[in-house]
Amino acid sequence: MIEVDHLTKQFGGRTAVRDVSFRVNKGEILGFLGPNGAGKTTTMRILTCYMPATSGTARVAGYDVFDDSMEVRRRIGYLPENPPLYDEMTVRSYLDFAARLRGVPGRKVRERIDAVAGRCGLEETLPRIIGHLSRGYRQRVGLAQALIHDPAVLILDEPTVGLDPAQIVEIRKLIVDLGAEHTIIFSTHILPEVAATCTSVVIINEGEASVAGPLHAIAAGKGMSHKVHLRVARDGQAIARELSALPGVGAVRNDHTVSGGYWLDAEPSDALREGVARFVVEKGWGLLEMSSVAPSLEEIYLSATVRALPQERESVA
Amino acid sequence: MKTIWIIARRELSSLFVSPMAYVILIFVTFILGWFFVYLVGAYAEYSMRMAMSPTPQDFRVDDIIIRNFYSTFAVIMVFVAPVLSMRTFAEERRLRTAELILTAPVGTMQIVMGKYLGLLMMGLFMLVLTLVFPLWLALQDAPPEPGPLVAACLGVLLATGAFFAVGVFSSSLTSNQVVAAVVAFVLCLFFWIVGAAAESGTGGAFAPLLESFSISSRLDDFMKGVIDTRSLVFFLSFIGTGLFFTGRVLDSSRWR
Repeated sequence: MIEVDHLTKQFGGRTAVRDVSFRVNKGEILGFLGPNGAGKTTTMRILTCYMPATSGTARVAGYDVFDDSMEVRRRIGYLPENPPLYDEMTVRSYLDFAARLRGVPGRKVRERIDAVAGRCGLEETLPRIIGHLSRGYRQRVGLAQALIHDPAVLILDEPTVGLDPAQIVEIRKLIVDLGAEHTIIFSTHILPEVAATCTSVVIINEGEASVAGPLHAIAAGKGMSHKVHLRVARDGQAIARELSALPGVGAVRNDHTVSGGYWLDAEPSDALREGVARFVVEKGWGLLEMSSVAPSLEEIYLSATVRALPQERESVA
Repeated sequence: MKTIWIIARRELSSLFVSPMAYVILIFVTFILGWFFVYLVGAYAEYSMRMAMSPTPQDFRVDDIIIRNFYSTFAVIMVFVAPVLSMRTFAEERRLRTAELILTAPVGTMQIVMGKYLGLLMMGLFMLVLTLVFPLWLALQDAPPEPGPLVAACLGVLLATGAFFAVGVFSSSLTSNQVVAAVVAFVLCLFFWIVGAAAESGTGGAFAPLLESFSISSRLDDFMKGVIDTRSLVFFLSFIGTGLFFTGRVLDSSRWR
């Protein structure tokens, strides 16, 4: 549905986006992750035809954002970081304007307004003036505006920023619901948000997309191994060394948050964990806890965005 | 065309929800009303003088009242048009609402035309308000000739349209409304006074060139009751050029 190839955008001498490529399939929810100023908004603005790229191509539903700009615009709903709301208008008149601007036929406008108002929880708010609304409601009006022409693709720039926790949960749920009918790209720098809502992720840092793909594939491909967490009753000096000598176990380091805790780099195999458990019991260290831990998005994110991961985190304690 | 109308309608309604439009309407109608009273007084005095004169000259209500009245209206618009048009693009840029229209399936020129048309409707509304004055004259048994009145109104509308084109252009240059208004005002004033500069002889060798840019010289034809094709072409191309450049500025701002 969305194909981005070697996209580069320069502002004067500064490169905001450098050679970014990714794909989003129909019905996917793509999380666009990255620290502030990484180039998320710029990429989205190129996709929405707000600004052209310096080089590279982007296609939405098969249409090039530069050559077939109007076709792309018809198919995209866009919620910028600051919802583009006219404060002096009422919610209804604003949505009416947005609908007509987006080419919704006159006789369908009312129906669409009611539909998106229902979707975004704005039924009671329609007659109110936008300038008087709270941050959460403004965000909803912005989202309603993006949905008004029932676009195939939704592009949401930090849709949960500045909302309270309850509202964040609501918006996330709404995004997941919308994912059933729309292809969605949304940007954020909040990691749990991506884990909770997305099917795939692009991590962008300093203008470069370092990681792109489905969540689980990224975890495997990035060399972020699974871990086994272990806790023993009787801690000792030699434990880490002896554990790391076991076949299939990589680096072992102390988990300083609990006494007798260890992190083992290990494949997620049952046989291996059984072996580790037997070994610990035979040694008489007193096995208290053991669990298998998949690499968290946070680790993937940090390894992608922080240039050099502190070495001591990986080394044997 | 439909899209232009949609944008124009929103533009006009947003003008009318701000107190600015009402302040300006009150200001303009007050000044014009006051000036009208003065003109009627002058007319009465003149007609008295003519009645007692041994060699009475022919004079008409159009020459004394209508012409001066609508010339004044145009002068007021030199000040008012920049204020009305300063918001168009500057505010959209500052409040980042531009992202809505710039990512909608709408061409840049359609956006410019829409915003411009909204302003022009405001100008037309102001002009319609001023028709009470000629109407009052008609009720006082001194009806102005319809021909010159129409010419004067058309001239004022075109001049106002030219000022709005300058204003919309200035507004597209900046995100600061005050800067937009000041730039527009300076430009409008320039196009208004170059004609006088040319006539006074200070233009030197450039006088013909300066005069060719003058809004006030062109407007004079209309005030005399003459609708000259050349003047029509002047105003329409002036407005067209202004809007074209506005579109270029908007397009180029996308690249940066």
